Amino acid sequence: MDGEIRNTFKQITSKKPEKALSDRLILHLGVFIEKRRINRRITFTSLGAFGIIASAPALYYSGSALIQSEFFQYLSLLLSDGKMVLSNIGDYAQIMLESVPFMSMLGLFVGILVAIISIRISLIQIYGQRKLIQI
Amino acid sequence: MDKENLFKSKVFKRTFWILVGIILAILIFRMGMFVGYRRASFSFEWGNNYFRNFAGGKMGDRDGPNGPLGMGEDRDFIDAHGAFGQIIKIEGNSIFSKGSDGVERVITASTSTEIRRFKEMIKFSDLKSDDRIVVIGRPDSAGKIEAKFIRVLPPLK
Repeated sequence: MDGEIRNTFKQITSKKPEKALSDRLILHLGVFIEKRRINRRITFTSLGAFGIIASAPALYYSGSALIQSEFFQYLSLLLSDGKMVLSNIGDYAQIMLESVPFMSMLGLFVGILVAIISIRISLIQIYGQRKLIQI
Repeated sequence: MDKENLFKSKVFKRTFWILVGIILAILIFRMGMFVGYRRASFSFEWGNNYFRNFAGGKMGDRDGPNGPLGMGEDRDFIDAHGAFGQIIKIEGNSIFSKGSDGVERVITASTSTEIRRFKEMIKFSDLKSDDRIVVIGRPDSAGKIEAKFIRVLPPLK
């Protein structure tokens, strides 16, 4: 039964489109794919640029909050009065943990991460995946 | 399954690192709770004793200007084991200082408190208003910091 069906279909010749029509179809598909690629490139490059711009104020404010925090004042004691710090290591460790500006650091790291991801997205769109790997 | 292959398997490694991650997360969380509790307790005592410490006890048990926890609308808890700021007043063996966050603190010194300016040891009586200090100490139940070490910083130019 199987063999008979196969033989029947072997004898049927399928109609192929005219060359001009198939060329037009392939060209139309190519244009569609290329347009979609360009749109995607514009979208992701814009997203990347927006990410870099958005992360700049986060980096600035988080960085200034970090620098202005009391954490560095206490850290400087480690260099200037190391022996005193060691003899009160328990209290020193507590004040260091209390004064670390965790939210500013989080803002800073999130800002850096967003900037790195945005730059990578933009570079992939501009240079393509292969060249980026070679870089 | 072979014992050797079991320890080398991906499932075992993944399980191992997940357990390590969970243990680290629990330890970090516990440390955060410990530090946070100390700060919150000190902030509460600071707010509770504010008028006693800064207004000479004339206004009794009223809460401080930043509420019972010493927190303003946009303020975090107060650091309990140290202080950094400018001396605004010295009274007896107590130093009243104002931090960079605008919060006043009372720092008490004892005979065992070491005070240094540059490389030399100085006496408590050598401290004066407007000196910038960094203090390491321990909180007490009255919202004050018992100083173990005071470093006098050079004045801002």
